[in-house]
Amino acid sequence: MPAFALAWAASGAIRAASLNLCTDEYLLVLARPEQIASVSYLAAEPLESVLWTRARNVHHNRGTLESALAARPNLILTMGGGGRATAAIAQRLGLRVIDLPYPASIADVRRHAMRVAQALGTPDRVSPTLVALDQMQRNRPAGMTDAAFLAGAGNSLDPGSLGGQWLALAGYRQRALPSGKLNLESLAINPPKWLIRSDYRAGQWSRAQAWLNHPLVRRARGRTIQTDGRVWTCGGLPMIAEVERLRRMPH
Amino acid sequence: MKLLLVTAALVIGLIGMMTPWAPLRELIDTDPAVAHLLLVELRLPRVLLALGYGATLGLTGAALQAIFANPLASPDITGSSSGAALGAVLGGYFLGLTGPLLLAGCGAAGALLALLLLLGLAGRRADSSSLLLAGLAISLAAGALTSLALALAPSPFAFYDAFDWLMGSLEDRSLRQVAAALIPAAAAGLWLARYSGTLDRLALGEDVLASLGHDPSRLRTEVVIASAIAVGACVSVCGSVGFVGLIAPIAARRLTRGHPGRALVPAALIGAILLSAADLLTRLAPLGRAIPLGVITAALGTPIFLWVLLRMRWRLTS
Repeated sequence: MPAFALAWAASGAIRAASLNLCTDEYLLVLARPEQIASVSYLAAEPLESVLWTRARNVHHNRGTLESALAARPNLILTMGGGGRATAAIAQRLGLRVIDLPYPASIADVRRHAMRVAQALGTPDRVSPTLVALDQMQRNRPAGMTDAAFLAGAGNSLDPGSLGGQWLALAGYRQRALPSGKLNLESLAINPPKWLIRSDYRAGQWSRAQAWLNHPLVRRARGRTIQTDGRVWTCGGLPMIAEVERLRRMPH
Repeated sequence: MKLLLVTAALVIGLIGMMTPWAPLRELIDTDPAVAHLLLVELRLPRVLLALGYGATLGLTGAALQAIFANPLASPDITGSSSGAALGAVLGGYFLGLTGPLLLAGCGAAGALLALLLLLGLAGRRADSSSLLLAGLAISLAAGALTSLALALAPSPFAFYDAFDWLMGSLEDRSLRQVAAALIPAAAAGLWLARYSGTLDRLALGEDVLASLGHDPSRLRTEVVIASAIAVGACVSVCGSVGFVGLIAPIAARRLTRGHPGRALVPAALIGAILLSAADLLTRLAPLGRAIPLGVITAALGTPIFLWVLLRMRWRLTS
């Protein structure tokens, strides 16, 4: 075990490093500032994370264990793919690892938040968030409106996916689409009542963005509601504020 | 023969406009305005691109085969398609160019650079192995540079974003994109078609051509530039599509009894038919998925490419 891990373990203080944009969100929301050893560089990128201002003043890693060790963490947060090897190496180094599975439901997001807060010893910081989430789930909109999430190149969501569940919580019923994509022909023939359009990297040229400029998509502007695309990447805790905002939009 | 090919191209274009028929038929009865929109904004661009890009590949393939005096020369094998893809990637992801016409210009510049490099590496009347090796080297280098550019692009998802396009796709293009691809391609194609007779005479040798008052060097330069403009503009909108530029001229030369110049227009028509047919096949994938266009053309083209190679080998050894 490295000396710094032993020293931190002895002091009992937690220094957590997150190696993934999605675990960055949990750490930035739930940890006390002195508990954050590092977050991934994506967390400090304004185009990727709504929490970038909080991430600006902490150390950044490249998403690898090696790049995170310099800030001397004793707790490592990872998620999904690639996390297993990282977790095994970190454990051999004597570091505690929390490898969160990809959340498939809002209940998973809730569980992840509690697990991270428990590891950090910050139940006071998770409570308000979970209270807001529970209240939101209790006060579901009475009816749901036909809608389709729309990102670049027509990428959308599955109704049963985590994103589809958040959309339902906002009062929009995600339409089932073949291969989870909205094609222009079905948009012309049978458009959903609302298009919940992601503004993810909208100002940056890509073929996916060029697709959104097709005349048939532009024609649907009147039925388009803009959403902050950054929060949909992980579908984690920042979704709560976005769902609250979407609830105030036309249905 | 040309009339038959034109008719076949028109018929396959019409089938492309009408496929799938069921939603269109329903809309004609219930909402004719949307049916019109669907036809004009979505299906017409796709059909025009299939016919136009296919014709461009056939025509430029035939012209390149004539000036290199080699049946293996084609936009994909000479590296011009890969060069065009590199140009379009650099223009879009790094220079931030958003207009289809500007991207078409970048594609044309990339294709031109690849063709000039090929002329430098393989020589003017290259033998098959020099042409293949030089073309392969340029294609590999351009492909690697395209991958590097996508890896270093400001968008972290550039690879994913460009994948469909790199594999060739005519789906969801607008009329503006059609204009950006096909107006330069048509202009360059008409320019090339003027040289039909001259390219036939080039087959007799550069000396004969020069004695007839033509400048072989100028002819070569003009063919290379026109091919680069046509292929570059189409690749920037539809991605690179292999083998059509190889197969169509070979088939056309069989129809014109080996006359490389006279094969230009039939090669364009055969290219248009082939790419339109390949595009129809891409729509057969189940569950609303689409098979990448480049996969279909490669599956059809690889056996023909191997057949040409083997035939050349038999001729050399017999």
